[in-house]
Amino acid sequence: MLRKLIDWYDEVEREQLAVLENPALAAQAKPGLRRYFVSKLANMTPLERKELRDFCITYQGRRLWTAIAKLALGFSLCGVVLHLSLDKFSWLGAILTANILGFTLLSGALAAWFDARYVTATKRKLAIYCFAGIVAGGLGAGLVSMLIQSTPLADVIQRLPRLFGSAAAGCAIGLAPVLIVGRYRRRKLQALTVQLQRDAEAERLARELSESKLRMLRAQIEPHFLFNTLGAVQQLAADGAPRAAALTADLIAFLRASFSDMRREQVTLANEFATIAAYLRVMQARMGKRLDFSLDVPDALAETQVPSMLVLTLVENAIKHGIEPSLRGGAILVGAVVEDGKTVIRVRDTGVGMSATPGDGAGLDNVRRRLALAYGEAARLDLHDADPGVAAEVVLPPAARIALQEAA
Amino acid sequence: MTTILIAEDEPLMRERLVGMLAALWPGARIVLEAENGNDAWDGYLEYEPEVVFLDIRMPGLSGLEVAERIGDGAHVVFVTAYDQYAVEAFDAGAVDYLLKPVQADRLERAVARLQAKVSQPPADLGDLLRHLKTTLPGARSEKLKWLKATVGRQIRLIDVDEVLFFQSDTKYTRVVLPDSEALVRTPLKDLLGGLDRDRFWQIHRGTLVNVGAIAAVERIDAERMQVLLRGCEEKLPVSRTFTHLFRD
Repeated sequence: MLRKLIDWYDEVEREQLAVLENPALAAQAKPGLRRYFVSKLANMTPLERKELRDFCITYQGRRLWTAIAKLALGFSLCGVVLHLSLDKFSWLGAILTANILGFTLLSGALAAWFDARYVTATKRKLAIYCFAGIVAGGLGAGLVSMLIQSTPLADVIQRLPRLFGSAAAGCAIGLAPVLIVGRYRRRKLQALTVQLQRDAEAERLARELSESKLRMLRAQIEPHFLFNTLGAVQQLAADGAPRAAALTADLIAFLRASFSDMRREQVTLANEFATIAAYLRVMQARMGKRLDFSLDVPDALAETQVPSMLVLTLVENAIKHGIEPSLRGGAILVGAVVEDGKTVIRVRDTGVGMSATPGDGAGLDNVRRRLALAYGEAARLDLHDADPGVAAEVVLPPAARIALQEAA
Repeated sequence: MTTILIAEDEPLMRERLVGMLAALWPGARIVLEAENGNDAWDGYLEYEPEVVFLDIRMPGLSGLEVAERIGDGAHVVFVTAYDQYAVEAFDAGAVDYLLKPVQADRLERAVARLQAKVSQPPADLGDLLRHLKTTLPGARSEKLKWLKATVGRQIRLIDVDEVLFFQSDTKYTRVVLPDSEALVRTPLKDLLGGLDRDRFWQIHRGTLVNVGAIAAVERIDAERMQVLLRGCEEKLPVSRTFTHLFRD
């Protein structure tokens, strides 16, 4: 019998712990009271579930019974004090009262601690239950004394106002600590939840940023680019052309900058333009007279910080979707200016234009995401038909430098 | 002497392939080095080479589109830096291809294979290519709807569907409509990629005709045919390459 009870208890405990860890398991619990109870557990917030689970694991098995024994001892000592200080209570009565009161208050406080949301949201209902409970108890006691000690009904009725009074007082004494604990915990949990959300958001942004940089890097060391460039190098070398060394140097500069920019969040505009120049020289060696380009960054803007690989992505886009598909090729013009205190970077191509290559915006999406991650709403990327070709314009806010440094 | 056409948009890669082929296959003659897909197709019609090396990614018509038009007219070897999907299909379909940058030993093997089969009729890659073309990035799906033509001081907008036929006129293209005609500044070879192939049939290197306008096809002799149009007196010759369009 005892064995069966212990097994049952273990099973219920296991089930509850499992649900606390994975609320989806609640649907698998035995129907009836047990499922009702675990479904309550499943409805708690993840944070609440985690705390409750940690507590349950700490007080699992023997430790629970030791804790209860210690508490019972403490409450009994209170009962002794009660008996010694108030003549009204007998030894047994005082110790029993102290234990019942103590455990009731403790379980109330525990419930409030772990389910603060529920306790504070239903305090009126709780007060009514508590009051009704005490009154029912009092009435029950009255009924018992009527039946056993043949107390006259009139006496019982006479005691009713006192019963209601003490029920109200009992309610106040019993519920007050529960509600205080509940309210304290609710505030604490809310603060903790907000903090956790903020941490998760920061982590998500950081992850998205590195993913976005990785995508840009992958675009740069794309097989078509590498194999075609290596083929050009091989051909120049086979011809003994001095241009082979120059092309290799540009390829090295471009790859080196790409790899190191991958680890940096921001670079100076001068750096970014140097990378772009190396890239465009590589492309010019390959495309010959089909590609022309010019780069113009004023000295005043050379040290301005910009997100790494961002302008480069726009230039690659212009090559890929503007110049490469064009029969006659075209020119790429990259420039930076300050307008109304904002840094404006323009990438213009004279290629086939937007309508000719519809639907490919992966590179641009990436640029927009990078801008949003670094500056929020303050920066933007505009694209318009320039006939011939496309003009892309990145506008960075004046405080760009500060915002970036804070983020970094 | 075997005739070869090479289509590759990057000058150094083109130079490389031309140089290596000259060394490895002295018995062959390179009839054209095309810089884009449009020139490759036009050059194919002009020179009718036996072997065609096609870069897959080129401006204008892609290498796959050119090969699809060539059909079984020549032995095709594709050239690509990295198009994994296409390469797998080529392997599965026993289609010749070279990976860029082209290496001598690999080209030597390709040349040996070509020499062995150049006297036989080429395989038709039609089905494989129609399937592959749509999966390649940058595959053109949008078709031309309007043409801009300068007529005197006016710029006329022409609805492509109303055109009876297009005819090449050196650097220009003659656009013939039921009641009028105009010249557009784009050469025919650069126009045809943007036109619906099911609607506008190429019947000659310099002629595209609207299928809906064809009244009849006339046989002149065993080799030659000409197309008669509704609402137009002109008769359009069909070149030998395209007579298969009208055979049962």
